Amino acid sequence: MTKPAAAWLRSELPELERAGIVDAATAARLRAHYRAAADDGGFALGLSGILGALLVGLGVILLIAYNWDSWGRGLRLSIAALPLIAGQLACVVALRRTPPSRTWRESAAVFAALAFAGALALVSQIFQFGGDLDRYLLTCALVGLPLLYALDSSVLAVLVAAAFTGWVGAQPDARREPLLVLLAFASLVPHVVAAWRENPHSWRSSWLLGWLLPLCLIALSLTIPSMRDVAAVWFSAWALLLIQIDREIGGDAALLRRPLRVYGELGWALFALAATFPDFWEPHGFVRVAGGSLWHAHAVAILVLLLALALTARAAWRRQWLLTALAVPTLVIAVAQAIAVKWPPNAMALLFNAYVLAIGIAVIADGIRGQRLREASSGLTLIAVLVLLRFFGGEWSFVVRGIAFVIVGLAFLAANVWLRRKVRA
Amino acid sequence: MTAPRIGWLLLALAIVLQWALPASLAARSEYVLRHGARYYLRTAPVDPLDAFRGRYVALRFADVEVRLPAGTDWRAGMRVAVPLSTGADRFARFGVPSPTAPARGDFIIATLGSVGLDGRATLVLPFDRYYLNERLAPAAERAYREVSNSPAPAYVSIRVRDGAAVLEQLFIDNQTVQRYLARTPR
Repeated sequence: MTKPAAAWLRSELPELERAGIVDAATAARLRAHYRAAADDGGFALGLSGILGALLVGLGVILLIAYNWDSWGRGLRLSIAALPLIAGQLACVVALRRTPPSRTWRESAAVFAALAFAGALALVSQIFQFGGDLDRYLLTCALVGLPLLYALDSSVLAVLVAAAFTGWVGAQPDARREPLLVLLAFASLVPHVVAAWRENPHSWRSSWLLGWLLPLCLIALSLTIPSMRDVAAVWFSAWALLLIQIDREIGGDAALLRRPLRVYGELGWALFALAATFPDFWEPHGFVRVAGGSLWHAHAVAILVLLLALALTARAAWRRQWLLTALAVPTLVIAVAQAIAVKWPPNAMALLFNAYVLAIGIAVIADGIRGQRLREASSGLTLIAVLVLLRFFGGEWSFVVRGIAFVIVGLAFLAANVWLRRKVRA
Repeated sequence: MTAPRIGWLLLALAIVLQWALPASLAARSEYVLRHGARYYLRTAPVDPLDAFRGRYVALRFADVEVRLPAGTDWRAGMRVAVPLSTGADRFARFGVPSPTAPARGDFIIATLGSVGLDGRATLVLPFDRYYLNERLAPAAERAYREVSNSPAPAYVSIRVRDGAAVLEQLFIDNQTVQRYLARTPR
C-alpha cells in the first residue's frame, strides 16, 4: 500500500472503530502494521544517509592512519579535531531538529563516534603510545554510550556492541571476565527496551536484536576457557533460550521481524541434525564427557542452561508440547556432560533420527492445524534435510545419491504444493 | 526531568568526554616531551601493519631483563616503578623494580612481562611502536636490518617525568630515522 493510502486508512480507523466495523484490537493491529511499514520506508531512505556518515567517518580514520609526519604535532592535532567538531555540531543540529529526523540522528551519532575514535587514534599515533587495542576499543565504546542515548541511535548501539566484542577478543585470555561482558552489554539494554516498547516489530527492534544477540554470544563465548569442551551444551542452550524467549515476547509477527526465533531455530536444527550422526556422540566428537566437563563450564554457561530449561518448564506447564520437546537435544547433551556418561553412539544417533523426524511431523501437523504455511514448510524442510543427510553420511555411490536427491527434491516440491492446498483449504 | 533535557545533558556529557580524553592524553604527553629528562634505549625494530593506527616500526628493547628483590610476591602483569640511570655508553640502565615509586630520581612505570623462578623478570615498557607514514615505515625496517650488525645500533630517545614516559625519536646510525632515510638512496 502506498504511503498516502496507509495514512488515509490510519486516519479512518477511529471512525471505523466508532461505527463498530472493526474492534479496538483489530484497529490497534492495523495501526501497528502500517506504522511498521512507514517505519521501513523511512529506514530505507535513511540507510543511505547512515551509510554516508559511516563511509566518511571511516575515510577520516584512514586518512589519519597515513600519518602525516612532516607536519608539526600542533597542526596534526588540530586536523584530528576538525571531524570531531563537525560530528558534534551535526549532533547538536540533529537534536534541535523539529520534527526529529531519525536519519539525522543516526548519521550524526555514528559520525561523531567515529570521529572520536579517529581523534583518539591520532593522539596515540602522534605521541607514540603503545598498542593497547583492548583499552582503545573499550574507551571508544564507553564514550559512545552517552552519545547513543542522547541521540537514540540504534546503529551506534550496534557499533558500541561490536567494540565491546572487539575489546573482549583483544584481551589476553586471563583477563576476560564474563560478568564484565554482561555488564558491558547490559549498558545497551535500556536502549533495546525503549525501541521495543516503541514498536516491537519495527526495523529498529529487529536490527538491534539481530545484531546485539550474536555479538553478545560471541563476546561471552570468548570468555569461556574450556569452550571446546562445552560448545555443544553452550550453543544448544542458547538456541533453546532464544526460541523460548521469542515465544514469550514474539507474538505472531513475520519471521523476518523475529531474529530471536530465526537464530534459535537455526541453532536448534543445527544441533539436532548434528546429533543424528554417530560421530557426534563419539568421545572425540562434540559431546565431551570426560571429567564431567559441564561443571568445568563457567557459571554464565550454566546460568544460560538453567534459564533455558526454566522457560521450557513454563512451556510444559502451559501444555505447549512441541515447544517443550525442542529442549530434548540440550537436555540430553547437558545430562551426558554432567554425569560423564558415554552413551552408545549408534543408538543415540538412531534415537535422534527418530526424534528429528517426529519433530518435523509435529511441526507440519501444527502448521496445518493453525493454517500457518511457513510453519508447515519448515517442518517439511527439516525432514527433507534429515533424509538428505543420511545420503551424505552413508557409503552410497554418486548414482544412488543423485537419484535419491532427485526423488527427495520432487517429493519435497509435491509435498509443498499439497501443504499449500491443505493450509489454504 | 523531561526527555529532551536528558538528551541535551547526555550530549553535553558525550562532548565533554570526547574532548577530555584525547586532550588530557595530548597535554600530558606534550608536557613530558617538553620538560622530561631524556634517555636513550637500544631497540630492535620490525614493521607490522596496524589497521587502526597506520604503519609503525614495532620496537623491542634490549637490556629489559632485571633482577627482582626478594620479599615481594612478584607476578607477571604487575605494574612496577623502575628507576632509570645513564650508563657510560650514554644508554639507559634499568634499576631494581619496586611496587611503589622511588622518592628520588627518574623512573618509568612498566609491567612485568614474565617472572622467572631465578628471580629475574622481563620488563614490558609503555611504548612498543614508533609510527611513521606508510611510505617510510618499510624503508625504515630495511634500514634497520642493514645497520643491525654494525657497531651503530638503532635506538630511541624517550622523555621521562614523574613516572610518565613518552617516546621521542627513533635513531638509525646516530641520525633520526627521517634524516637517515632522506640521505640514504632507496
